[in-house]
Amino acid sequence: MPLFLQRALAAGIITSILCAFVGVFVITRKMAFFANAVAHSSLTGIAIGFLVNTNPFWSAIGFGALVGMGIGYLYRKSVLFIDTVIGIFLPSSMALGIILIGFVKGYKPSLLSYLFGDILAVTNSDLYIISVLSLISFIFLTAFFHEIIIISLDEDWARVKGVAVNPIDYTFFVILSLIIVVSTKIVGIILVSALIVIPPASAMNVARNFKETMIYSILFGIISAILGIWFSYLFDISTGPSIVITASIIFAITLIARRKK
Amino acid sequence: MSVIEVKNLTVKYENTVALYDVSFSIEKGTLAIVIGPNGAGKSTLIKSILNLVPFAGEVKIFGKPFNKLSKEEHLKIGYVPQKFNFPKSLPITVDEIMHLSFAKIPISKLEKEKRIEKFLKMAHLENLRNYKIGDLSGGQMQRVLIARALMFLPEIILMDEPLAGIDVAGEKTFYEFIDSIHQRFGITIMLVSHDVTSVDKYADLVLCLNKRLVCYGKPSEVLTESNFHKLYGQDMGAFRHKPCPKDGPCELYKEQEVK
Repeated sequence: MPLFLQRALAAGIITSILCAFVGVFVITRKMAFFANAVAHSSLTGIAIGFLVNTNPFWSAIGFGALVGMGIGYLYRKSVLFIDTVIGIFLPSSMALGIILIGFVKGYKPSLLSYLFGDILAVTNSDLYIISVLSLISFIFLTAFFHEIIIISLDEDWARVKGVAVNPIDYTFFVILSLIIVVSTKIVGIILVSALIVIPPASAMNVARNFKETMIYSILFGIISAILGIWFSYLFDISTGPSIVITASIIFAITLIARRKK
Repeated sequence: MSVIEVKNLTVKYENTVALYDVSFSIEKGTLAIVIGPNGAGKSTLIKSILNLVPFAGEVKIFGKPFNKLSKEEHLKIGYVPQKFNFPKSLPITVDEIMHLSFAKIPISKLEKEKRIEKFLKMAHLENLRNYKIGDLSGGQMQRVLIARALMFLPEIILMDEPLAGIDVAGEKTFYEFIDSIHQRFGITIMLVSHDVTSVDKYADLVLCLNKRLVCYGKPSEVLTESNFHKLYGQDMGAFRHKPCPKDGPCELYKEQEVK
């Protein structure tokens, strides 16, 4: 197997596991559009990276995390629903990104790869960044697994029981943002929410309990990544959309399986 | 000994006053029921005591402000919310809710298992253990929330309209259940209810709320025609329970006739 394909598979599997894992919490909290807002905001981060001549991946991660925290803060401090808050952040940060990109001199080919993803162009350095960030995310998510579930299901009850809701929740927003921005490298800004939403939604079609939902979600995420990359290589099609279409086909199969139960 | 103390509690949402200058205390082992019309601030009162909404004034549980309570004291407080706001399609079972709620609580696995079994049985939920919570009725869900609160062996339980979504037959069963746990464990219970008749039968203490504390005391003292008028803005009375005769059914009679 060519080295670039090995890197693509490694990056695809790592991010799909994390997205599928964290996606269960995202769906439980009814905030599927959060991924879209953070992903689109990363465009601003990328533009800032180009403008200040630094690695746009880092600036995208930083700006994405800021937007994630901003959404969390405004949701808690205002009387607005979470979808309204996201509806404010998504177009605003996207608009800012478009304006800033206008100031970037010359043609920037990698900008397109952020929009649509370019997993086959993942370098060793990208893979290193993805691995480190994924490890940080994984440590946090497993250390506070129970607290995150309890907060996601019943925040008031968690507060009454003395769970440190605010610090855990803000960290969760930041970690979620990191995972989303890292995943834009795989499927791009436009399609990244599919990795967060589709595998857990497919799992919910067939799981009998929460534990199975977690397991199936991760399993479907991995299968989508491997088959998607393989189809992309086999049929010479774009990798990001290929992964998303594979995830959608799995969703359709699980939906049929649910109806037949 | 007062386990809940509220002094000059005022809560405002934007420009609306939800509660104004409310003061009372609840002694250990009391079954206190909060009544009042819709929008009277009943849920806000429960949430203020639990520090879930910003407020002015002083609220103490176990003699301390909520944010000064120790981890152990937090565990001694039970809370039953009005509803469980989760996606109905989420495949999570009753058993999982109980186990997840117990996670990281410093008691043995065996003890956790014993308590879960005991309180699910007490709430008549033992056969629904592997049911997804989305498949439960409103009444069953409410019992899950009560069992979840009880398994921590709390000293205080606050319930925010626990009868929402429960039918008339379920209401009677609910009050009998609450009365039995109150008698058996001596827990201090504060609950919000619309059912004035049951208040008279079961409550040790009644708090009549309409943004202000309209009345506060024993049911026999405060469930009067004038208090109802102040509370609901219309004339009404409470059904009172006669002591049940040994050889006949219990009956209700209305002490104060509706005009």
